[in-house]
Amino acid sequence: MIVAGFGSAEALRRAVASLAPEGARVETFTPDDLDEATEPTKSSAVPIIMLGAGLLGGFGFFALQAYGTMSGYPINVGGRPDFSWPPFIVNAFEFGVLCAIGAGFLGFFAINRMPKLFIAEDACDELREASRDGWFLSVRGGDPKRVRALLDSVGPIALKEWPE
Amino acid sequence: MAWALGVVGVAVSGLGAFLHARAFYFGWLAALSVWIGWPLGSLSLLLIHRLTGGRWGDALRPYLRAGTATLPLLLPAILPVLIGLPVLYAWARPEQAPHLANSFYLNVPFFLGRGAAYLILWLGLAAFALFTSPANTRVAAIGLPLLALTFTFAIIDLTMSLDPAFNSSVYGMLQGAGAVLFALSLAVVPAAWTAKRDAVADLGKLLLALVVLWAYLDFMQFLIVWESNLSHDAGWYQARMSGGWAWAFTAQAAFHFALPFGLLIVPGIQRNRAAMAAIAVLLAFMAALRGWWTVLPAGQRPVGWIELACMCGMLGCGAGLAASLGRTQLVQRHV
Repeated sequence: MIVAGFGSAEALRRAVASLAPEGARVETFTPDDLDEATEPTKSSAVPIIMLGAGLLGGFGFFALQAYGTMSGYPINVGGRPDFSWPPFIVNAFEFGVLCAIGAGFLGFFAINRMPKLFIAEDACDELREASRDGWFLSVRGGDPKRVRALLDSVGPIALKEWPE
Repeated sequence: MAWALGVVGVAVSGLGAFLHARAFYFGWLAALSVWIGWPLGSLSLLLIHRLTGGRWGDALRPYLRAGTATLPLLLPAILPVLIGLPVLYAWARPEQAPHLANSFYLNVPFFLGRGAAYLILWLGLAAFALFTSPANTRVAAIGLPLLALTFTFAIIDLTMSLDPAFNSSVYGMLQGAGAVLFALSLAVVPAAWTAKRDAVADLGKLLLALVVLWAYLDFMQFLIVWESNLSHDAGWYQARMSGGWAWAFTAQAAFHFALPFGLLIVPGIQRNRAAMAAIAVLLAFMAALRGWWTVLPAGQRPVGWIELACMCGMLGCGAGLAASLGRTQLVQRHV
């Protein structure tokens, strides 16, 4: 892993942009928000996870109610057919929302490797500057020599190899 | 072009009034009940924006102001309904009215008195929204609940009382949500092209919220009627879920809720101007179908050329007037 720090958000942006074709995994550590457009994050998987869990929960709960009233415990309610589905929609919708929110919550943790409470960058003293006025990034993967050369050309205030 | 459609529509529906008066009255009431959502929905959004602010309202303001300014068109548009009262409403027929339990409320003089009060309040609020500076919020705070209440009572008088036995306490709010959704859709069609990039996504989220609100209220009314299973309420749905109206019922679930909902939750579509305009046009068309579906079964009328002419005439004149007024000082001054 290579850690590099810059004196300004502008320099960090240039560094991130120059690394884009390298195919390395870049994470930024900054004292202030970066613009959405320049943040090196790919589109998040959380919405897809939530959609999938919501649909699964909704249709699953609908199916559970259909099973319960049609096959498990059929009861004659006011002469209605066993498959009286309009009220199923309410519970199915609620359960779908619950599943979507739960999956979004857990999915967000999973994507951010939540149970893991430590990353290598935490031990890097220079990187602590990121909570004051340094604009940092860490690079995993890619060709280390080329990455170093690219970062060096932007003019870093700190640049070092760090064990992962 | 809107004026041409409106004038031709009014002319053809006038011909229809001579050939088949009953079809004309029901067709005109359906068209009026849809169109009225445009000025009143626009007015409510203008008043809400006065209180909340937000870039969505800045993007919509010229179109909402133009829509609100068309409210006086209600004065000529209500005439056919007043002339056709005994054709449209059982409570306005001298031979039937005495047998109705709620004739103390549903009778012609009281109906006219209530209507006049609503009209005066609406015109006053519209004048307030159009002529005063956007910084003036006090009247907006008082006017919004009054507008919601009077719209509820007015729409119950106009369309729910077609079936004097039908009871639904959510009816006014449901039709109100539909009216605001209709007005927002008509404002989004032009605003999707003129609004700033971020504001387009805001409009998409607002449309989504109103689609969900409308669908929630509509489904709840249906579910409560279905569960209580009482003949006078279920009969209202029976007439609207049999024959050709079953298609209109399904089409609303599919195209007034499911399809727009599925599209509007995608962030990429919320930011796409052409897609937003297309969804808004779809919602506006579905509002017209909804109006027919609500009103026409009460008169045992299908959608024929007279009903189509009434809808085109009413909405065409409304759109023509909105476009003409949109270029005047009246609408432009506080944009």
